[in-house]
Amino acid sequence: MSERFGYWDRILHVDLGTRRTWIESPGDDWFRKFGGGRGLIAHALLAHVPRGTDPFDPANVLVFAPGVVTGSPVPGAGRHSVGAKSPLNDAFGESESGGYWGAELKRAGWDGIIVHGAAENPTYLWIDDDRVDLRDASQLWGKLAADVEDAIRAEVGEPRARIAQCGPAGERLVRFAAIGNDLNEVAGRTGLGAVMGSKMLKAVAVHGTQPVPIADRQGLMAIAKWVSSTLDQNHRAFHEFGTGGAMQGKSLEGGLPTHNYQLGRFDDVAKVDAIAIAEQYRIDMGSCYACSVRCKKVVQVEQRAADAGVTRKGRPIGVDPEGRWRVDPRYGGPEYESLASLGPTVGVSDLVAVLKSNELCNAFGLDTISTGTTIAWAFEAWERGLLTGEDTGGIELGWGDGSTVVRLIEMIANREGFGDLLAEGSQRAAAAIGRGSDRFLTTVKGMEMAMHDPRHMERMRLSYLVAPTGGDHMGQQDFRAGGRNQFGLCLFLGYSEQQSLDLLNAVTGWGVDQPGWEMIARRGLTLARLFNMREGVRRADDRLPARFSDDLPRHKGLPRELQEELVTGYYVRQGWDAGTGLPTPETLDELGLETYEGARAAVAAALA
Amino acid sequence: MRVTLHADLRRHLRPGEAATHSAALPRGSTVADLLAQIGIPPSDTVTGALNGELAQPGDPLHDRDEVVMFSQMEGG
Repeated sequence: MSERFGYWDRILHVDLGTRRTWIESPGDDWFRKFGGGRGLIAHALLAHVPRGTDPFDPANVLVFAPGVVTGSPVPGAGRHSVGAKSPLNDAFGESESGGYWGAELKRAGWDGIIVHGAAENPTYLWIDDDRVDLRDASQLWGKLAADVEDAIRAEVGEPRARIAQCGPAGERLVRFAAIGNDLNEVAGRTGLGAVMGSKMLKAVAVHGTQPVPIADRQGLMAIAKWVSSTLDQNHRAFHEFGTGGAMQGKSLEGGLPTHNYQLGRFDDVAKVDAIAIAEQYRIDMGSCYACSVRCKKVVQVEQRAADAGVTRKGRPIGVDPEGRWRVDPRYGGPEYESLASLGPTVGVSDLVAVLKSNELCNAFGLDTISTGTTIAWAFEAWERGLLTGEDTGGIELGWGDGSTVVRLIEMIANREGFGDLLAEGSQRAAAAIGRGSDRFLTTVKGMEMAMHDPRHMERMRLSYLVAPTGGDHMGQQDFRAGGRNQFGLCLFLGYSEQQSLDLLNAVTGWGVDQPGWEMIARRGLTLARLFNMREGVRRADDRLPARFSDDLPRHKGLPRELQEELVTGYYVRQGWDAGTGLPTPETLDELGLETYEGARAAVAAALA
Repeated sequence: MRVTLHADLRRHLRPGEAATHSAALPRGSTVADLLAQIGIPPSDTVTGALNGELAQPGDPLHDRDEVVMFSQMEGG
């Protein structure tokens, strides 16, 4: 065995059906090749999930995948990925989250968890360093996230246990259910919470005591010190506001998704941005593992003035002026994607309603982006007369009605009445009601786009067109951002390319250069593409919905020819076939992925 | 004119200066001149509002104008 840094060479497999667990050690070469994250997810999906598997079938796997950087003592190293075949896009599902859970899993001595099968009864997984237990979760089923966290910590007797969970929305197979961890961090996208719910796996609780081995501790500390000593120059906005401090600018530029992407400007944006939150309802800023930036908003609202007062740190606690809701600070606060999707996209300028909507999404385990955007689709359908009170059970829908958004979130999470239709996601809901309501979908590959209009923001065009998951804003298709996600390094840290490389090498001792970094990212993307094509994704799916060919008031629509040009260029840069996007045999050779040639050849035969 | 700097642009404030403050520039000055006076380098991506509308670097400024500056931010 060579000396090993940044990983343990231990992946935990859990079969919930047989209640069997085992350890896989793929070897040092494997970690150097894939780096964890998407590499592990794509590999596991190709290896373990038969072609055409229904995402809710026990044959699907759920993969928790930190990267080699996750858990190292440096800002930005608190990220992990989760993946499965997605019930939202019926293809490659992946989402990333921050907080402490991923680092705790690494500190427990594990590089990932692959969950097979489905339990007969509600179950949770308890990992305490080497010890792995499957425990009864019947008493937790149906409970909200904070109650689940309290109950598990009490039962295992470890107040520092970190918990990832699917929430009631995942139990009810809402197709955009999230997996939350630490109550306020979320692997939100692609419906992974529903896969977890389908397996009757309520939660994964972790406690670890082993520092991740670091190759060059002094070098890593120098990078950590750079972050803390240059906070004012590089991260002050994040530190003061989190994200969402520039929404007014985005609206001025005409690129803020408003009224289901019909408009790019929201006149009331200053009522619902991060500046308004800081002035009225923010009581603290929270952090992820080992991060000095502290960019996570914590908000609190009391329903009655008598319950308000000040926090222990002396911050005043705000009150709902209409006396409707309390917003629990344990669920953190909304960042930009949540602010925009639960605010301007549905026309809501009622800040307390936005904060309550965000809290409910975290408590029930819902992706805020798909939740807000699916409701926005319904609001537009109502505006156009395509949905009526007969469809909604008498609920009137309308732009700006924050109370209705709050009500619909609970109905979606509980699959109650009209919420049952919306729980399928906007694309399936449009297919179910017909009436031409697919004309104003904002989905790519079945997943609702994030809160960056590609007509305004050029960088998002390719992200939405070719990200393996669909309407994803994380720049997954890009080697730089995709690589950082794969290694478990937060995109918000202002590390240059060289600093990112230095950080990776300080953790692992690999001595990777920029081309080497890109090769690792390409492997993850190429395997994800191979999985998608095996499941029937084709070039025609790498396309923006019709809405985005229309002009915004300030920005031109994106014609089909332009989209095709972007897609072809991307395929060529990846070394995939310029026409179909299928990875070529030469590219598999170049990337050292020859063992996947069988999967590639099967897709090629299906295309012929 | 009145100038407001939001989020991380506040690092350009002088000691004791409020986020919203008065500024004076010679007649005929533009938004780009104001940015230079504040100390924001031309390479920084900044969105400005001039009297509530999107500002361009060459827009002329007048005594009673309201200028608001945001730095760009993504994600979350």
